[in-house]
Amino acid sequence: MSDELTRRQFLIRSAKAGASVVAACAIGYWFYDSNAPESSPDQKSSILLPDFSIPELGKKMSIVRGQNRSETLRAALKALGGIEIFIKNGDRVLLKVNAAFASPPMLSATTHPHVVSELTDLCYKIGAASVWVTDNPINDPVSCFGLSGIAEAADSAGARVILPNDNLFKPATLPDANLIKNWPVLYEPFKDINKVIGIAQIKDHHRSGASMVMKNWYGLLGGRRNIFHQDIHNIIKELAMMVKPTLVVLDGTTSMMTNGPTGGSLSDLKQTNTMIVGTDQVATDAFGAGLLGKNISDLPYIAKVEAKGIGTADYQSLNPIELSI
Amino acid sequence: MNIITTRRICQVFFLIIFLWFCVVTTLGKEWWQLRGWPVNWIIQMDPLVGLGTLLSTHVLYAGLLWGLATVVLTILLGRFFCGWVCPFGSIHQFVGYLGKRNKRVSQKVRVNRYHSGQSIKYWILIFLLTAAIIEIATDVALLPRNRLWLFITIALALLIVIAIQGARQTLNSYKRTILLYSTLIFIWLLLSFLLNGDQRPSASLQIGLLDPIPLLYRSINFILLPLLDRTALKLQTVPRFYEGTWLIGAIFISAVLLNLMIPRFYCRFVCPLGALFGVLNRFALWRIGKSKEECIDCQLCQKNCEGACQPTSRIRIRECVLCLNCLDDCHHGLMTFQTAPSAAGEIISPDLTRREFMVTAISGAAAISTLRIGGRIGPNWNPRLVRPPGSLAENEFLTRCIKCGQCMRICPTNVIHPATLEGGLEGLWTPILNFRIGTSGCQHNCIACGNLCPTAAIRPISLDERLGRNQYSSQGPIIIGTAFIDRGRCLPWAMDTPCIVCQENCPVSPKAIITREFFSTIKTPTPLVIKKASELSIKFQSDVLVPDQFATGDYYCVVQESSEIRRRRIIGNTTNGFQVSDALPFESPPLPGSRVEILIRLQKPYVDPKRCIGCGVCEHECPVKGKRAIRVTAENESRSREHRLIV
Amino acid sequence: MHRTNKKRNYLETYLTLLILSALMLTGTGIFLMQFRYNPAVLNIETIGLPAERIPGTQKPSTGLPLFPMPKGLVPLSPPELFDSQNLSDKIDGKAELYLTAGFVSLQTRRFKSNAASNLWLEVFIYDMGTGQNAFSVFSAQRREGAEPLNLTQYSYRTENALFLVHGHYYLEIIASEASEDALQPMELYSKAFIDTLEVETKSVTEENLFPKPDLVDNSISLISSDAFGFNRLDQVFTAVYKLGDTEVMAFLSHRKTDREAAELAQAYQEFLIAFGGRHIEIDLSIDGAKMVDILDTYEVIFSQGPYLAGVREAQDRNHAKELAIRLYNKLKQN
Repeated sequence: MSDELTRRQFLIRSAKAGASVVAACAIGYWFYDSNAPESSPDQKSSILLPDFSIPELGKKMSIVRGQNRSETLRAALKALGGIEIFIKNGDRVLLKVNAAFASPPMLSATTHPHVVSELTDLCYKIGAASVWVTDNPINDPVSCFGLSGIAEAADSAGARVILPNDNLFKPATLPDANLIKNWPVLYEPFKDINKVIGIAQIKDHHRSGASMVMKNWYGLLGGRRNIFHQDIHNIIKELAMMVKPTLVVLDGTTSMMTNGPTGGSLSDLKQTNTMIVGTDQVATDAFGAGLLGKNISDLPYIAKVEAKGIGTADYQSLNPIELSI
Repeated sequence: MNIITTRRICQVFFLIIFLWFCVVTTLGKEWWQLRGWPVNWIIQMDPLVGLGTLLSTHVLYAGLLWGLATVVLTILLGRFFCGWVCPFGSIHQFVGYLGKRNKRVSQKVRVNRYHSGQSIKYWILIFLLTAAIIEIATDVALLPRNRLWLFITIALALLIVIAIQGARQTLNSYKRTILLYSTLIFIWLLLSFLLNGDQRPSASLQIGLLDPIPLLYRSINFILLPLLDRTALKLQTVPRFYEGTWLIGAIFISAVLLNLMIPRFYCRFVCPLGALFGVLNRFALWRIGKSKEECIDCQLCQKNCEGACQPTSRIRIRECVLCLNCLDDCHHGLMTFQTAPSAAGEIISPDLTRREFMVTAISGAAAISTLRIGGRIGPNWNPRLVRPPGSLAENEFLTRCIKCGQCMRICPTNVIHPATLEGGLEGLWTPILNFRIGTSGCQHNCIACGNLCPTAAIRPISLDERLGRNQYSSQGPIIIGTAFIDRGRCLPWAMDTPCIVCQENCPVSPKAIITREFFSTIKTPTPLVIKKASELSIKFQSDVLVPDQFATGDYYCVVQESSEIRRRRIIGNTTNGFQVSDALPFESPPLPGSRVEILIRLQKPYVDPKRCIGCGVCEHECPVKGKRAIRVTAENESRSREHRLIV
Repeated sequence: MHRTNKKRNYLETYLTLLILSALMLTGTGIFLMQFRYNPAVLNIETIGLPAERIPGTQKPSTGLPLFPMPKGLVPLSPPELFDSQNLSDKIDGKAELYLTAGFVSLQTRRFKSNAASNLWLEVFIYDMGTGQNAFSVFSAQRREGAEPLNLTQYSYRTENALFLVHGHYYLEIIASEASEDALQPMELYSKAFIDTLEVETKSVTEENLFPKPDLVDNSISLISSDAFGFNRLDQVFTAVYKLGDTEVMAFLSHRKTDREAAELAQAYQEFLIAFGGRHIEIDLSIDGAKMVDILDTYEVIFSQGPYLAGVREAQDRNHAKELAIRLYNKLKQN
C-alpha cells in the first residue's frame, strides 16, 4: 500500500469520524433537556370546549305532550321558531346522546333512536353539512350504540357515529373547578363542529337523584370517571359549567321512575308523554324533575348549577310554550 | 513513563473514584457522606444510558450529556472507556490477570484468541435497544397515516438516490434494488394500516440489566456495601437489607469468576456497552496494528490481549479495548498505535449477519410487546408496586429506570428495594417500597431518592412539591399509596386488645389515621355476681379473676339491670373483686346479687384517604409483625390518574 | 524490552503527562463539586434518621436523635422530632414557655422497662441551645413536692417523673405510673443520657450572687423573657427569701454594660409607676435605688455595675429594704 493511498484513506476516515462527531454532537444538542420531566398526570392543560350557545336567542323552552316522539319533537321545535333558528345552512352538528348502556330502546335507559333520527333529518333538511353522534358509554361502545338502536337510527338518517377511543380524549381543566382538573374529556368530536345538541332521556338515578340533560354530559368524561360518583352533584355542576350547548332535548315520553339509571324492567317505566326542548339546561331539568315526581330540592345539583348563573330552575319564568298533540 | 503504567494508573484512578462514589452514597453532610459528591458521574459518562433513554424518551436528560464526551472520544480514539475507565472492566482485567498468572505463554495466547461468541454482545445490544426504540419505530411505521407528505418525501428521496446510483451504475442489480424498494414501501404502508394508532406501545428501557455501570453499582450497592455495613467499618448506622439480592449476587460473582477461565469474559461476550463502543470506533483516527506485514507469527502480541482482537493477523478493530499490551509484548517492535490501518489488514464489521441482526431486533420488539400483554402497566397493575415519591407514571418510569440502585442506597430508612417480579419482568430491580424492611417508613421530609436518580425516573422534586406547600399547595402533597387496615388482623378490631400504634406514628398533620372509641364486653369464666359493694370497690361471690388482670386502665365495669349505666374505670382487681377509679364512685353501691359486666375500652383505627400519603410508617410500626394489620398499597398514588381512589 | 524507538518513548512520556494532568483535573473537579450540596441533604436534619451517631461528631443543636439505649430498657416507639413549628403538636399550649426561652428542638421516645412489664417511660429531650435557656425552662416548671437528686447540678424528681438539666439539654422523663419501681429505670435512663452526651456543664454563675442566708432551697429560677410583665426585662434570675413569716423575692439580671443596667432599672421603675405604683421616699443607702409601692407590696429597684437588681412583692417595707441592701452588698463584693 503506497503512502499516498494510506494518506488518502486516513483523510477519508478523518472526514467520516469528523462527520460522526458532528452528528453525535448535533443529536446531543438537539435532544438535550436539563429539566426533569413534569409529573405526568399533572401536565398543564388548558383545553376547553368551545361555547356553542346562541346568546341572541335568549332562554327559550317548549313543552309538548304526546306519545309520538317524532311529532312532539317537531312540534316543540316549531313552537320555538323552528329548527332553522338554531341550525343554519352548512352547520356541522354534534348530537350528544345517552348511549350509556347496551340495552334495548324499550327499556328507556338510553336516548330513543326516533329522537336521533328525527333530529338528524331536521338538521339535514335545513342544510346542515354534517351530523355526528357521540357518547362515551359505560359498557362496550359498539354494543351500546348497536343495541340501543342509536347506531342504526343515525345511519339511516345519515348521521355518523363517533365511537370513543383513547385518542379522542384530551385532559381538560375547567377554571375554578375542583373536579375537572387535567381530566380526560371526549374532546376531539367537538373540534370540527359548530353546533351541539344534547339529547337526554329522563331517568331516575340512584346516586344523583335523576339523570337528565345535565347528568347526560357525564358521558363526555373519560378515564376512571366513576370516582366522581363520590361527589356526584358537584361533578354535574362542573359538567354544566363546561358544556354550553346550542339546544337541549329532554325526552320524557317514557320516563324511568325507579331503579335508575339502568332500569331493566318495564315496571320501572311510566308513560309521561312529554317532550321538552329548550336552550336552558337548568330549566329543562327543573321541569323534568316534576315528571319524575321529584322536587327540585331532591336534586341538589340543580341549585348548585343555578348558583353558578348557568340557568334558572324557575322554568315558568321562561314562559314555556306548552302544547298537546 | 511507559504508557501501560499510565493506563494502569488511569484504571486505578477511576476504580477508586467509583468505589468512593459508592461509599459516599449515604445521606449526610460529612465529608464521607453524600454532600455534593457527583456520585452519578460515571453513570452519566456511560453513553448507553444516554442513548437508551434518548431512544425511549426522546430526550437526553441533564447530566447524561457527559455520555456525549465519551462518544466523541470513542469515535476519535476507539474503545478507551473499556480499557482505561470502566471500573467493571478494571475488575475483570485484574481477576483475569490472577487467573492466567501461572499459565504458560501458549495457554495465555490461547485464552486470548478471538472467539466467534464475541458477537453475542452485539445481539444483546440490539435486543435491548429495540425494546427502547419500539415507540419511535411505531411512529416511523405510522408515518404514511399520520404525516403523509413526510412519507412521500422520504419515498421520493429514496427513489432519487436509487436513480442516481443507477445512473452512475454503482448498483449491483438495478432490478433487485427496485424490487427491494417496492417491498419496503409496501411493507411500510401495510404496517401503517395494520398498526392501531390508538394503542401505541410505550418503550421499555432494559439496558440496565446488562449495562456494566448500573450492573456494578447494583452489585456494590446491594451486596458489597451491605456486607461492609455489617463489619466494624459500617457506613450506615443500621445494617441494610435488600430483597432478592441472590440473583444480583449470582450474576456479579459469575461475571467476576468467569475471568479465571477467559480474561474479560464479560467484556468480550456480554457487555452491551462494549458493543456500542465497537460500533462507534469504526472511524477511529488512531488504531492498533502492525507497522509492517512481515512477522514471524510468534503470536506473543496476543499473550495479554484484553479484547481478544487478534492483533497478530487481521485485527478485529471493534474488539480492541486499547489496553496497549501488544505494544510491549511484541518483541520485534512491529505493533504500533498509528493512523494507518494494520499492515496485516483489519476486520471492521462485527461478526453479525443481516439475518442475525433482523432476528435479534424483532425478538427485542416482540419480547417487550409480549410482556405488555400481561397488562402490568394497564388494568392489571400491581397494587404492591409502591414507587418512591416523585416517580413518573409507570409507562414513563419504565422508559427511564436503569436499575442502578442509587435510590435504594441513598434512602435513609432503607425502604426502597429492588423489585423482583412485582412490576413484572420488565420491572426487575426497579425501586419498590417495602415497609416491612428498613428502619421506618418513607420519611415525608426526605427528597433524597429523586435528587439522586440519574435519569429522573424518580423526578428531583423539591420539599415544597413533596409536601404540597407554597406554589404546590393547590395540588397537595405527593401521595405514593394509601394505607388499608386489615380488620381481621388488627388488635383492637379483631382481638379486643388496645393498640393505637399506627395512629400515634402517623407523621401527617393532621393525622391520617383517626381512632374511634369502642367498648367491648369481656367474657369471664362465670358470671360476676356481687357479694358486697361499696363506693369504690366490689366483691364477687366466687374467685374467678386473675389478680391485676384488669388493672391496666383499659378496663371498665358496668352494673347490669340497674339504673346506673355509666361505665367506671377499674383500677385494680383481686381474684374476687375490683376497685374503681375515684373519678366516678358509685353514689349508691350496687346491691348484692346484681351482675357486673367488664368492658374493655378500645380505640379502633380508621384511615382517612384524603390525608394518607402512603408513607408506610404505620405499616412499619404495626405490632402485628408478620403480615401487618395495616398495609400500604399504591391506590391513590399521585403519579397515576387511573389509580385514584377518591375525588 | 525491545523498543528502541526514541520518538515513541518521547510520545509516551508526553501522553502520560497529558493523561495524568487530565486525571488530576478530574480529581480537582470532583473535589470542588462536593461543596455544592445535593438538594437531598439540605433538609437532612428534619428527617428521622435511625439513631446512634458516631461519638465525637455530635455537634450541638443539629437536632439528630440522641437516645442512648441503656440495658434493661427497650424502645417502645420510634423517636419523634419536633421543631419550633410543630412543638405544640406534642406539648400543646406549653410550647410557648419553651419557644420564648430559645427552644431549638425536642425529641421524644417511649421506652419500656424489661423488669416491670407494664411500666413504660416517655423521654423528652429538649435542646434549648444554651445551658442558661435549659435552666430557665427547668426552673420555671419546678414541681411542688420535688425531691432533689444529684444526677446533675439541676435535677429533681417527683412521684412519677424526673427532670434535669444537662449542658444545653433539658431532660424530662415521665413514667406511666407513680411508684418506686419507676424510679430505677428513670435514673438508669438519665445516667445513660448524661454519660453518653458529653456537654459543657457550667453552673449558672448568677446563683452565687444571691446572698445565702434566709434563701429558700431550690428557689432560684430564670425568667428568659417578659419578666414581671415588662417586655424589656429578659434573662432575669429570681430567688425567694424567707424573712420572718413572709416570702420576699430578690431578682437580678446581668446586662451588657453598666449603663444599660442603670437605664433599664430606670425604665422598670417608670413601668411600675405607669401601672399605678407610687414612689416611697426612704433612705436605702444604695446609689440610685428606688422603692415603689404597687398594690400594697413593695419593690426595690437598683443597679450595681452591669447588674440590674431588686426586690419584689415584699409585704413589709423594712423587709424590702433589708434584702435589697444584702443583695447590693453581695453584688458589690463581686
